[in-house]
Amino acid sequence: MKYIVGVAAALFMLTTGCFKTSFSPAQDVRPVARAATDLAKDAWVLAATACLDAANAAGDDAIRAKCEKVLTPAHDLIAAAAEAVDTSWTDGAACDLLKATGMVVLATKDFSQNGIGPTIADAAKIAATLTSAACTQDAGSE
Amino acid sequence: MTWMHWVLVACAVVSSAITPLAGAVPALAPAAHAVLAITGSIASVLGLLSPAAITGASSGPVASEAAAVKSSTDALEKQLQTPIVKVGTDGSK
Repeated sequence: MKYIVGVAAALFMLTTGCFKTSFSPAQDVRPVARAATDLAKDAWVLAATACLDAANAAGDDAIRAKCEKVLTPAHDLIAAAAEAVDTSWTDGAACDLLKATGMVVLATKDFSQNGIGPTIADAAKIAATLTSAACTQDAGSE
Repeated sequence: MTWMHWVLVACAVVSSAITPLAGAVPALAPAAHAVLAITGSIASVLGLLSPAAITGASSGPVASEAAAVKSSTDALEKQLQTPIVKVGTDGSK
């Protein structure tokens, strides 16, 4: 009986001690950061595709150039956020992702009438909602 | 290495040290038996909790977010940066 109690106590101490140190707040941020980055990426892909489709359909390079001006920096910000998900998520990464989602919506505001606009805006809004709590810098409110 | 790996290594080291000691000193056999039971139980529980701890599989991120973003966006990014060439109805550019 003493042996069983001893083993149970040892296992209890081992698991409770280890779990206390295994799940820190810093680690809990990553799933949210990953989800937000994925959503921002999906919104960016939809926006870029919509821009290219519109430009190709109209044969108007000005549409592509206008989109590129906004979506390229947005892409860089999303890529940087993805790097932060893999390494260390920071407030700066959250703010960058927030900026990127704003850019994605801005790039596609001209396509709001063709059905894809609301989808892009919704994805960007959810990504922004997930990241806005983490972004405490002034840059995030731009 | 994760904490599970370190606990398993500790179990293995303790077991390896105890076994020959118990053989050399019969009086220690009961205690050694109890210790071996504990280390064996810990190893079994860890194996159930996380087979990766036993197999040595990586405990890091299961997928690179950067790689996922890159693979999904790179082609579109290049297209966005490439000017559209107007093609006339007669095929002229």
